Amino acid sequence: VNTLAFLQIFTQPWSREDLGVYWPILAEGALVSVALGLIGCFLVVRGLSLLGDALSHSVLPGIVVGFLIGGSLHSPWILVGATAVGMGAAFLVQSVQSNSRVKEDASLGIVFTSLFALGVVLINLYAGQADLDPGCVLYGNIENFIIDPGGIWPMAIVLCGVLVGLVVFYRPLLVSTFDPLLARSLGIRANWVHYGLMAALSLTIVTSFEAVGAILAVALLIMPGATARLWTDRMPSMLKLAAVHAVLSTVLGYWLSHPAVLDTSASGSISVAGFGLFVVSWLVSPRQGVLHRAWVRRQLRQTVELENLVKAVEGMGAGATPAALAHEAGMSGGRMSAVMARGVSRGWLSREGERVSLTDQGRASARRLQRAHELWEAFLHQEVGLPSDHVHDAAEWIEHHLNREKIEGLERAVGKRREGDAGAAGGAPSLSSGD
Amino acid sequence: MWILAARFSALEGSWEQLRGTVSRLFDSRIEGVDCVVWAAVLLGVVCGVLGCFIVLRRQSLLGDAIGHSVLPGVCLGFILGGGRSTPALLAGALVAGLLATWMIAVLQRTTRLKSGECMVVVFTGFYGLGIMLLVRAGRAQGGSAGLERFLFGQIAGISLADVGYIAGVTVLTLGAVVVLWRKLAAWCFDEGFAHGVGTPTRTIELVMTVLLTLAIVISIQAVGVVLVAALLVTPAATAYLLTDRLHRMVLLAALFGAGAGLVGVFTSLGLSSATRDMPTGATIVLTAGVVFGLAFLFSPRHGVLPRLARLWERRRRTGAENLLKTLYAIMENRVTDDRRFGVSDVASARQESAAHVRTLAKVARRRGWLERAGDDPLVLTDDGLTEARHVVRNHRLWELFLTQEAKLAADHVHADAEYIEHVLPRDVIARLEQMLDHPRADPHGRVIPLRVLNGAAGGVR
Repeated sequence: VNTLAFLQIFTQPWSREDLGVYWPILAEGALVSVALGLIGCFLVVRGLSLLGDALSHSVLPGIVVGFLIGGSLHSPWILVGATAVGMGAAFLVQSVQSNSRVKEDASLGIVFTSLFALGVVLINLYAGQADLDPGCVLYGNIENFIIDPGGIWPMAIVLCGVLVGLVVFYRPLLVSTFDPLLARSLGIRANWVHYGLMAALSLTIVTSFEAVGAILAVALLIMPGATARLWTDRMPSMLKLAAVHAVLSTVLGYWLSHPAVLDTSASGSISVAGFGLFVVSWLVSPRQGVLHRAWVRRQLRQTVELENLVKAVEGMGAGATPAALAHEAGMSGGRMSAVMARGVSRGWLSREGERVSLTDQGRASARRLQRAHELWEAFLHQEVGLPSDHVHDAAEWIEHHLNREKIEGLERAVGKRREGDAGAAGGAPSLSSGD
Repeated sequence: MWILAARFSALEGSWEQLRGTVSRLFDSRIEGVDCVVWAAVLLGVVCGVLGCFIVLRRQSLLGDAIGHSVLPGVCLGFILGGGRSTPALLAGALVAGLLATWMIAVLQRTTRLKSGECMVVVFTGFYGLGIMLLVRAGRAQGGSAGLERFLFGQIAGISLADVGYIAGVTVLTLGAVVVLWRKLAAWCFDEGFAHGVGTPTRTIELVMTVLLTLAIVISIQAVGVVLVAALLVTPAATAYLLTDRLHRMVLLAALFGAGAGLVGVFTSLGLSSATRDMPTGATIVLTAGVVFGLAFLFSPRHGVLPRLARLWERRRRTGAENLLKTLYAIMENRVTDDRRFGVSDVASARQESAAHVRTLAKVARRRGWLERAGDDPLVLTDDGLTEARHVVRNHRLWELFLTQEAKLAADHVHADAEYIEHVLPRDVIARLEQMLDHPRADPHGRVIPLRVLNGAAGGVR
């Protein structure tokens, strides 16, 4: 019975009856997060996330005034008021930072907190007359849409608008984001693009206000773009990944907030799911992920250990035993056997009892390392002008990182000087031929 | 002495009176006005002082990030501590705040996201978690769990024990700031230098982060998590507009913080009624914002209006000086030392309307450079002549400098000199004279007027 109840956590939110009731949460959540997430991508690559944060807080007094005039959250006055206040806030931030010594961060902080406070005061002053709940400001009330599924339409229209805008203005957006100078030479007005983006942002935030409030909108705005940024460098794939992130976090958030699971705020859960996806991406994404980077570091360490071992075996010749090698490298016996096992499996070493020797392949590696080491020493001595007794440590480190191409480059650089000196390099480290 | 004492006792009397009135007004809703007043003042002081350092380090939004991030900690502390245990709330908030700060720092180090993104992602994530817990707790108890006050702040419920915690953090913060004063100053203005002279910058940063988190944690009950950033940034930025010295900035910020706290608290209490609760956080922040707006407009040195006034004044002075130059040029062409000028002559020489010349003349008259005599309205005074010689001298010296030292052509230097003649300081003139070996004539062959040492000016020659 317990197992069944546990399984219900997973099945019940997706049952036909529950979806029949709760589908508006999924629909509205997905619409809001995709629309905000797509715009957010451009904010992320333009470095404007904090402005997005400020703008979404600042529109509050506009929303309240519009609400008081129009009497409902669907009145067009809200759009007018919020857009006016949003643009006013952007202007105020700009004017404070360009007309005084207060810098951008403080100017943002002061303007948006003051406007937000004004909004809160207004709400509470008129709380008796209007049905606008302070809680709505903080986390929205996406559950309202269960009762009134028709309320989804405005968001659907806004998302369509965002998509159309994205397709039509894709090139100006892209060019002005990544190469403002090129944009100017192409006749694209960066200012217009910027304010167009801000207007689209205000519109989307206002429309999503009922569902997610003013603060969680920031989460839905920035998280998809930031997560996608961890996976890719290309704008088209970033936009697609952001949309995927938005939909996935909506689905996960719906599940988390379902009465059978945690029974809590859907908009809060969507943000937390988005944050979870971000953290997972941060751990596992290729190139930037923490795990990937740890893996690369581990690989490098193993390679260096093995290459040092090969050099040591070459140096000891017939007297190379595991104990002597471990002593030489300052490792424990167990660790040395592990390194040796990797050398054997890579085909560089052969081991018969206590006798360790190099295979042909291993000998080639040892010679390559030796040559890289000496070339680098010669390079530092001849070209950089370091004394010949100061170059060993640097070469010891870099020999593991020089590939064939770089070695050939070094040969040319060092060899040219060598010909010019006509054998006068008495004090320089000797060079042995690689073959 | 007795006057002072009398004044003081009168002041004390009126304070008692005020307190009595306020107590009577609000006794029905709060246990003691003393608690609320002390809490508001101490919070203002702590946040104002700490805010100075983050404003100077341009990390103002860190306060915002920590403020939002402590919400899940507060909720957990609230749920686990059984609702009214302040230590549990503080501990939960502290842990959440430090965890978020650490995460932001790690993200900044390990990803290529900009610091803004890292902050926003972490604090909205934490905030979302807080909202989940909050709504969950609310539904579990079948209604509001009393957590709402941590979002916008409700200072009325503050107890003597809470004030004790606030006072503790105040003492700790002020002590740390006094002890670390020099190190903090170096760290704020030039972190590289501070590191170079052996200041443990990482330790300082850690100490400040902990203090900042503590300050935010004790403030959330009064101001709420959403707006606590303003308590840090706004008073400090206001003080930054009014002074250039760190110690004055810190003192002023503490003052503004405390003032905004007091005014905000009483506004909130005044606007609250049986049917509505005006959140203290919103009124405090709005008060601080208004004070900042006033400083932004009227601050003597950095304010917008005084700067406009200075610009306006400079423009009028330049206009009057240019008028004097015209008069001087006319005098140069005269045989006699007559100092009387007709407005229409001056207007045609300047290629301007007579009305404009009259306006400029009014400015010059106010400065004592011109006087009125009979029908001819423009008569140069001794002071006016001295000033005219001074400006013409600046102009011709600069032209000479440009042709001789900067090797510009003689017909390319006028416009530049026209601009700089009004702003050349005395020591630069002295150096120009020395460099040009006390010249007599400018590149166009005109005489450079001699320097006049006293007010008794002669003619143009």
